[in-house]
Amino acid sequence: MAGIFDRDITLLERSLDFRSKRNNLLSGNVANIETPGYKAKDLVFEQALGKALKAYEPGPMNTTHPRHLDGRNATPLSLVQARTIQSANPVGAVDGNSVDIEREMAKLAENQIAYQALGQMISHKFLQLRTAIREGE
Amino acid sequence: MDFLTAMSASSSGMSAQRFRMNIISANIANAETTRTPEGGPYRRRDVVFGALPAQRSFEDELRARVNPDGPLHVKVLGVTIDKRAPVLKYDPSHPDSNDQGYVAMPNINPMEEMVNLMLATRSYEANVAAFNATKTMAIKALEIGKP
Repeated sequence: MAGIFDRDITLLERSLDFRSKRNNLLSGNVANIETPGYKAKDLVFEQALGKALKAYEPGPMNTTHPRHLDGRNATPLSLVQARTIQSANPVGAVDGNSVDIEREMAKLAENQIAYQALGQMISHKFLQLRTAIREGE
Repeated sequence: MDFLTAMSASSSGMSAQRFRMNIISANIANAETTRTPEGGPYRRRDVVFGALPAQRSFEDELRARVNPDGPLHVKVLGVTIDKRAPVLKYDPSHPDSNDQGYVAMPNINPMEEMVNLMLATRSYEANVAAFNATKTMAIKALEIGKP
């Protein structure tokens, strides 16, 4: 946490990473629209990331020394893992394929927009740093 | 950068659909063919798709073992020949007619072929859309840190 790259940059970086992985899986789903028996996949990470943010809040125990433990129970952001799941499709096809193309395209678009937003935010973070480094010039 | 994985998954989908279009075009083109190298009228063909991990280079193999949840590519597993019996059409003047004047014609339903062709086209377009989404994301990633 120390230094100029604070927790927000780590958080944005991890989100970008997961979004790019999710894009890989969703593209694979679209490619396999007509493969018999193929099961659609998705990546879940938002809950895990949210949980990891707790690592930055003070723990339940008071500390009077930097090497004291404060009783926090959270994975650091940089170690958060995403989970691959099989996306449920209520209207399954006869051939065992569970890709719902409308839903996959919507997820793909959502993922793309979120990725762009995250990219914008991280750019802005760097811009702030630049302003500080140049003393507001 | 890991965008190449998504791009190659999308392109595997595109090439599989294009292969399917070729087969469907051949079915339509041969709707009236009564002579084939294997003898008899033309038999309708169909493609079989399978989901497989990417091309089997050493790196891909390693990656598939480390991350078994990665995206799967589409592969054309084979072309099957439809088992439907040929249609008998009464046409005594046809050179391939039998003693009773019937010709064995391919059992091809143009409607069915056209529907499959449309499906292949739409699937191809969906893959193009997914590919473009990946491309936009990759370009956005390059913009990080730009003043």
